[in-house]
Amino acid sequence: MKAFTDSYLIDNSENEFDLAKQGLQPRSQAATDWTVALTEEEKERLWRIRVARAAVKRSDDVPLPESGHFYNALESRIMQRVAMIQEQRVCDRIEKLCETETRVEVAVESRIGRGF
Amino acid sequence: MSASLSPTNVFNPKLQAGSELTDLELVAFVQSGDHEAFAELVRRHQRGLLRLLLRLTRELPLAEDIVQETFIKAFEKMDSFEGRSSFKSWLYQIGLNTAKNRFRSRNPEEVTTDLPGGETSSTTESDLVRVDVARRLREEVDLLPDRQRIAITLRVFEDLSFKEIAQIMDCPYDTAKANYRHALLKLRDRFEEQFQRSELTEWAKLFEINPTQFEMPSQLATRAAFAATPAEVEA
Repeated sequence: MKAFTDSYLIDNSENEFDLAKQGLQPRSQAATDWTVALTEEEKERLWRIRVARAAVKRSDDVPLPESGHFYNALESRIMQRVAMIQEQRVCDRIEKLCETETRVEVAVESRIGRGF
Repeated sequence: MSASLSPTNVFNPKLQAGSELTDLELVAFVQSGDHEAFAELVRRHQRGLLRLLLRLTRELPLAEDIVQETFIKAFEKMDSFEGRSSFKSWLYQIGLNTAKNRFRSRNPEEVTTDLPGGETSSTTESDLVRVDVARRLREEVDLLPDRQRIAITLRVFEDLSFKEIAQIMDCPYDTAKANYRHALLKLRDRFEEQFQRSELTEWAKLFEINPTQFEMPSQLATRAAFAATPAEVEA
């Protein structure tokens, strides 16, 4: 009988999470579908993988700032920088236009000077 | 989209109902020079991006700074965004690369592994044990090679699909999956050392999981009971 690898157990276990997330199939139902083929030893390995995953997930509570003021301030800073970039882009465009205009003027003057 | 009307969007009724627009539609508005659409993208994604970067950096001021830099880079590169991935994946990819560059240029002594606000004011023994175990698990995650750490962070903590993870990590789908598998197996091995020392009921208490779910499969009375385990463990 073919033994299932840890990779197989993890992949199928992750498929369950995806299905449950999409609301396509109850997680316990999904588990029943494929775990019936597992031996007791494989079930035990799967169980340990799941417990490890759950424990790792629960180990990391990132305390995000709750205050709306924090996010408003962050957005405001970002948009100020965006406004500066846009302003700079406009300045650069004007500068390029001026350069082009100057080049045209120089060319015209040069031709006039040559009796054009 | 907020009700604020900038001169750029005042004639654009579709943009005024920004909450109904998809990210890609907002991107198209930004590419045509509408910066109010970019403000909406910032509002949509700043929390998620901050959470991800906080997990990777463990420092709020640094994570906040990288969020800001990430959005600025995204705005500057917006013309090169072709919509082959989701805007979120693209943004997170920029965020991840920015964080990596920061760490590369940083003095290692400055890097801290403490979570902002991670210390608890609770004084009960079980809380202290829980915090200690959680801290050790976080350290184990931090010790993983970069790509494994990022894969497990995106999958377990951010609940992203492997397709999204592959886009963010800029690698093939199978590689993203393999990185995740290696990380999880490594953590399981480290975790099992803890199991040897701890009573299962103690773990259940530490992680606020019903102790009956911690019976070993061979001890379970029925297959149905085992099938219910993952849902309850994860719940």
